[in-house]
Amino acid sequence: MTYVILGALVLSVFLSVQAAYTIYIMLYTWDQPEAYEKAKAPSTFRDPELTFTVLLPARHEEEVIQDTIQRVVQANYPRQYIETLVICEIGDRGTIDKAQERIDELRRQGVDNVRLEVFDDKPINKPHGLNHGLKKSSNQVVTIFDAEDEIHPDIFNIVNTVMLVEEVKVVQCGVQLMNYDSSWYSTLNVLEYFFWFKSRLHYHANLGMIPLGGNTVFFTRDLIEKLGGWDERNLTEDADVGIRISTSGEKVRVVYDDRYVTKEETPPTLGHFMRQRTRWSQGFLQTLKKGDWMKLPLLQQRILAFYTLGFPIAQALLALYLPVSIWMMFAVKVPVPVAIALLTPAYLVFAHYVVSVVGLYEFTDAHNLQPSLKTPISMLITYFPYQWVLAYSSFRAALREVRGVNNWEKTAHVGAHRPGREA
Amino acid sequence: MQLMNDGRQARNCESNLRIPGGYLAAVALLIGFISHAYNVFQYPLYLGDEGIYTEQAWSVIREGRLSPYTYFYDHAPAGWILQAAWTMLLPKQFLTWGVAINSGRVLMVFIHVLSVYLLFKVVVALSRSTSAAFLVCLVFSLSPLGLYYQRMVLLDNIMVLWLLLAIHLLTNNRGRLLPMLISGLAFGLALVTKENALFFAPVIGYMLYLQVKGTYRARFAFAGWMFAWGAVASVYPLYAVLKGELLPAGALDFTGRPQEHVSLIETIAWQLGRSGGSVFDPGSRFWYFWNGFWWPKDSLILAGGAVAVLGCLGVGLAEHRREKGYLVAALLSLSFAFYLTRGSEMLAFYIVPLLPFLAMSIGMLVDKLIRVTPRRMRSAAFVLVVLSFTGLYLSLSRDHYTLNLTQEQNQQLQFIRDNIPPDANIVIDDDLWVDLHERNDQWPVFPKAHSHWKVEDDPEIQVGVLGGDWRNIDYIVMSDDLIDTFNYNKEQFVLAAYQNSRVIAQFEKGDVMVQVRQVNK
Repeated sequence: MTYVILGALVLSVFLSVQAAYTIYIMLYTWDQPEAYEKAKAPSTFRDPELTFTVLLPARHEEEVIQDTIQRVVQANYPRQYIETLVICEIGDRGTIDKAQERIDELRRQGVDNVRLEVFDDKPINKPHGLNHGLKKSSNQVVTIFDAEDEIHPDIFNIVNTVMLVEEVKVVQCGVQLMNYDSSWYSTLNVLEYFFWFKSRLHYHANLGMIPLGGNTVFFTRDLIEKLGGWDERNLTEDADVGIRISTSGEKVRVVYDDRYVTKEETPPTLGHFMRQRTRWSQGFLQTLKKGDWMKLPLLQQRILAFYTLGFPIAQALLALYLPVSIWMMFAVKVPVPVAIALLTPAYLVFAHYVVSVVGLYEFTDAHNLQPSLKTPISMLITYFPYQWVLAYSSFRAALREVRGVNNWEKTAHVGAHRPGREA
Repeated sequence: MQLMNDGRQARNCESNLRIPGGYLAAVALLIGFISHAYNVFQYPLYLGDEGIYTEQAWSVIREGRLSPYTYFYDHAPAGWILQAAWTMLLPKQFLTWGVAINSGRVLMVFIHVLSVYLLFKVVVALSRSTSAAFLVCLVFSLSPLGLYYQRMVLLDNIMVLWLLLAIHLLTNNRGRLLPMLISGLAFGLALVTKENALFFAPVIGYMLYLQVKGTYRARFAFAGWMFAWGAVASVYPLYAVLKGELLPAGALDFTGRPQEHVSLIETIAWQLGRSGGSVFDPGSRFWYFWNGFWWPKDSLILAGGAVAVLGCLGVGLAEHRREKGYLVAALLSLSFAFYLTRGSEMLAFYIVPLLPFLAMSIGMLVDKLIRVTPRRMRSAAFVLVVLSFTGLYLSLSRDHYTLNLTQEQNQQLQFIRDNIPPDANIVIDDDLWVDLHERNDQWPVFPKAHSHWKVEDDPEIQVGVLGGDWRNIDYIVMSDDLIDTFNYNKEQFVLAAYQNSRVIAQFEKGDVMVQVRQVNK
């Protein structure tokens, strides 16, 4: 029994440290006035100078692809400076037809900078589509939008300005889930994005170790070509490319300005949500296994990389530890100071909840939304189920990775974040 | 106006001295150290309360418990846990400096020096004047009233340190969030060191508000600060819950079996119910201590402080855009003065947490008044003020630096060690408790020497050890004026033994008198 208690104590210290660290990086932007200032978009824009290639990989996105194309076309940037490639696999007739329909329509209106690129080789996944698009395009800056993205019309002006003024080759702009009150897990999911892009990524960028997001990320063509494009065997090609960029020592600029975020939606069902999480966790594990992060020059970068990529597992442990610790508190007679020490992670989990509730108000304030008083209460009720869903997905990911299962479990999109539509 | 120093602003734009703040701070620290360290083992008398915290720290180290007796939540334990941690660091632990309380007194000297440092930084932030900060620290260190209690091993002194740290982190944080969260943790530690720190919460909350209102970090700052201290403070009731001692005995008992145990809630209710009499009643505890203890030691900090608090309040309200720091200084004093005057039970040393803030108002206001004089006279005027304060205070506290009052207590201790059998049942005041219980290679230990409080009130001692009969008491060790405590608290059991005892040793000097008495069988 002594060994069980000792083990629990060690685990409790480990989990407390990691939980405190996680909370700190969630609050990084609020802690560092300089980081907060830097995260803002430029207040005045330079004249358009850089040309952009927009890669729009789409698979089974017939419902939203037309709107997305429309959004890109309507951007406040000279049309001749942008080429847009909708990339589909040849078997995906539905998406191809819908996309072609809109492209034809645009042609009739005299808009001719959007085209369809179809590939017929394997593997059928996003990184392969991106590499295909990269080969078929030529503009100076390459960016990715997902089919469900609602981008801001000024996004190209922002990146044009930032890249020219700050001479950076990679810009990650904010991506934000919006439908915070559409399902039991959506509030916490939305807030994860909020803290990830608004705060945590800045911490990563500052340290020079950053897993990039999957879209609204901009690379200069020479850089992404030098890197050899995206890794087609990795389930999170975005995190992987971020690690490789960090390894090359290239600076990444993160812009999170509430006004200019790319708006997205949470996965429509719990099943989709878990599959998305499984994919992310597994992709992180693959990136971890691949070991590029070990080439990072600084020890603290390597530690942060290891921590970030292995984080889903640590988080899963925490989710499982809590019920066990509370059970131990009452069922096993331990000395009172030991019991208090075993409860430290519980305090930090509660702190995490409080930070999330405050984040909810920060988020809704920034986007002129009015959360009801019920939302924080429902967050309290759903907090643990949500963590357990994440834990389940992490373990599932680990299991899949061990078994060598590597298929891409796609997330469906129905456009819940777009006004005038019902989820 | 914000209270914040962002580190780039000229912090010292209103000093009356052209000496760099670093030098002034160093001198203030030196004064704090010397005034408190010199003669600290000789003056003042070892107080019973010092002994209580020391014996509880002893119990933490030697027994892994919070008290050698049944801990009944009379105070939150963080203070003596800190004292225990400090004692663990010492080469001979409790015996490092002779009498056990001395090891705690050395800790108090360091705590005072740290407090001076924090107070200096806080005042610079509030007043933008290093000369004000110097004056505040001078009053804080040299006040004979302060000196008297700050040298003693008291929870209040430790609480003041945490409190000042909490305030410091709110006034010097360069706009960062993390120091504000740590400020919350520090305030939580103040609360679990001595609960009446709670009376400062509104003012400190107001300081935080001044600091973050209208900024993008306001929400996280408030939520984080409150969460941090709430979390630390909650460990105290959590401890009670884990021990099954939160609720009164029998509250959740449906078995009908009799239960007996202490309870946090019961103790809090009892504490809240203890009345010391209204401040409008001249016979109240407040006026008893005011007239008998505080005013005779240092009328200046009391009367001057009262005037200065009103002055700072006036400045703060009249120039509220620019001089919020004066308002805050006044409110800090007022909030704790409210606690002292609201009519609850108290002890003489409860004045301690008020002193740094009275000093703050005095120093800040006097410094501001000097600024009214022509520029070329200011340095001279300031030096004159410093010299007058120093001269006055030194003359008022000659005893503090020259008297050896603890000599009699040392002789009394030696007498017990030389003449009383180690297995005797002894009733003592707590000042000698650890010295009689701590194992050492020179003298016997006295396992049956028990605090008069416990002999009177704790059934485990009165019945369990003494069989419920005062005749089983062999000796009574009387500290100075202990008989008054017996009478005030109507300690019938102990008084019965006392009345049937005779003096076998007596040590006295001036109006200090300690005795060892043997009970007649």
